[in-house]
Amino acid sequence: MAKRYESIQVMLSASHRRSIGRAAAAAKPIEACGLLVGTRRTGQAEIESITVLANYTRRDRHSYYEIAPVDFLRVENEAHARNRDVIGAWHSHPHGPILPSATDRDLAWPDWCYVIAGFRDDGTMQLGAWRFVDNRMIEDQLSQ
Amino acid sequence: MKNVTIRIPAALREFAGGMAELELQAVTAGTALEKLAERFPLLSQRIVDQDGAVRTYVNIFVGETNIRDSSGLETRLADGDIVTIIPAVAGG
Repeated sequence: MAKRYESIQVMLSASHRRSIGRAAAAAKPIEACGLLVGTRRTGQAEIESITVLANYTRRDRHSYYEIAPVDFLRVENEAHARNRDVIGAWHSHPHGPILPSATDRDLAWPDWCYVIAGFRDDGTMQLGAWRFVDNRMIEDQLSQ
Repeated sequence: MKNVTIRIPAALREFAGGMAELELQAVTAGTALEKLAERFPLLSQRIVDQDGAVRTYVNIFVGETNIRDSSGLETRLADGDIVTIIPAVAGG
């Protein structure tokens, strides 16, 4: 059994990566966000579908995001009906790297998957996957 | 007493022994959370504060209704209700 602080493999298809990229690019300069639905196994998270949701935060949406609780409930119920789980969330950093911010870390739920879409200086998108484990964010391995 | 189902999303299951849902008897949302606390104190600490109020970064839904938009912890339950604990998802 993998130790908690070891990286896990986060499986995210090319199609889902493109969907996140399109939503993140379309939302610029504000942060885009959504939920990740799939299954967790030891050492692995398989993302089977993603949702694109409104950024609900009342703070500055250029630098913060929040998912409306009612949106989470709807996605949770849909996942439950398919015997799946909401296993994480994704959001974009329109002006920054894929590293989790201090706010990301402070508000992270333990062992949940957080995918971050960032943009390089040339405008191309990059993705990173993270989990909050033992009071720190550890980077996971994204694969298809 | 009403028979209800408490649904626990994956983000909170580590505090509930990995359990996804459980059935219990309660009259209000508040008594349901008290019974949940008896079984899973670590989960309860994430949901309510020392005064028993629901924490700002957690939402409790009875069916499709957020109890914050209803009668809070006094929200009455009916047989067959599903009580879902929804954690806030936010960052920057």
